[in-house]
Amino acid sequence: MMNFIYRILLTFNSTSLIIVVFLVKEQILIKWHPKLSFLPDYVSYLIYFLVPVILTLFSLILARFLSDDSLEKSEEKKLIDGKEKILLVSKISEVEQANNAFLPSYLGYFFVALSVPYCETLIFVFAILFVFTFFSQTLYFNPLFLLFRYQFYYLTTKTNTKIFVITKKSLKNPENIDLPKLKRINDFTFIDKSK
Amino acid sequence: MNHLIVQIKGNNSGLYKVLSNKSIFDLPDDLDNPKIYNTDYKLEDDEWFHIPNFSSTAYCIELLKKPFVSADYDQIALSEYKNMQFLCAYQSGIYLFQKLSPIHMIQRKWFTISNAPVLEENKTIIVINDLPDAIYVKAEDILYFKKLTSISSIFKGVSELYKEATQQETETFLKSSFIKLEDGYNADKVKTANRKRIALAMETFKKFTPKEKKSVSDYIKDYCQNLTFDTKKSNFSIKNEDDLKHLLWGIEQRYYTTPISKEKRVANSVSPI
Repeated sequence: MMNFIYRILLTFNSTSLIIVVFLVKEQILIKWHPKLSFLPDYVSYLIYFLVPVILTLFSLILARFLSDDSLEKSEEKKLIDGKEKILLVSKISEVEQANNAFLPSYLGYFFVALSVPYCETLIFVFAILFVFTFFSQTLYFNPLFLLFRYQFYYLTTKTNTKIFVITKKSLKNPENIDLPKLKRINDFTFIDKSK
Repeated sequence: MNHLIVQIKGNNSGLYKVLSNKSIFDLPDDLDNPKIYNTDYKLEDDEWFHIPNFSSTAYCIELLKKPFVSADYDQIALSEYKNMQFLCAYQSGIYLFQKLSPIHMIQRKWFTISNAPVLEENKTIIVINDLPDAIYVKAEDILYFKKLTSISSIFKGVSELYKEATQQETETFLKSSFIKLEDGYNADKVKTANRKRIALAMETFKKFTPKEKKSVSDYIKDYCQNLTFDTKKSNFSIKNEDDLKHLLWGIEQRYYTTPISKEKRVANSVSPI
């Protein structure tokens, strides 16, 4: 159940920028109290933008309640110079950065938001995108994670399974990858909670 | 990190993840003196059978041959719990298996002992045994187990270690010159326990020289006085399962006399020292 709620939240976070772009395009402003009427328009826009940012932060805090998982290095016996030694071996064979992979889909989202004429159309389009993002499982790209210094990676394990990992670590050499404190968002997406 | 995975049978058969970061079984501390499997040997409480170089045997499963990566396994779906076949706990390089049968899945009303007990209904719980059915230590490549029947559904083909004479072999054995069947007793009436003994006795008997075969007859005659021996034809009359059992014990030289008190005994479990 926790997992389901979490996935709804992640889906909302990764698609909600559409609503922000739409509100900015339509120049819809927050109706301030008369005493606050001196505030410029961009304050409203900033507040719209802050909502998904705060929800993203909230989702990062909630991640601790997800089920545990790990991709830590494991001990393996290897023959080195004729001597048997126990080495710590990574479980990853390939790593591919995915930070920019969200760009095409995000540009798509923005163009949709900019060209949608009515509020009803936006609600309908947003609902469709929401459902597809939720079920696509691998598409939880949320560029707001980048603000919290999280990065996206595709990792291929030594058993040839490709998974999507969200982590603060900079992953480059597959042999050095050690992720002992993962949380499972779904069967393909994992978030790293180690500091 | 420790992980618990489960084998599912049926349409979505395969291994699935149950939970992580918990130790499921305690590793037994009596694995240091394991025995090679022998149908004839009854384990003491602190003993285990073992199969060395397990990964090179035909019954080793794929899971044990590759590195353990928990991310490979999807989370088990609620609807699949009823199809569980066995559990495998991965605990720091050691795989601990438990076969699951309907007795491990309990669907009763229950509550835990606490200050505010809550009655739980219609919730199935899965019971974990104190001891796993099999333990595989990857670093040593050894599989430990207590009962072959408990692991035969986990490691397909391992039951070939449990030799039982076929109908053909049983018939051939009962036609041996030192056996005379009486009272309508025949190969069809030989039950599993004696078939296992026949499989072993045939191996033992093959290794005897003609002289040894003669001495074994004398030895059996000496210890099994309830078996009728025809001196002219030098054969034993076998009328039932019990007679056959005593004869087979004789071939395995299970009868002995204690050296000091001179008491005649039969060993119900044997292993070479």
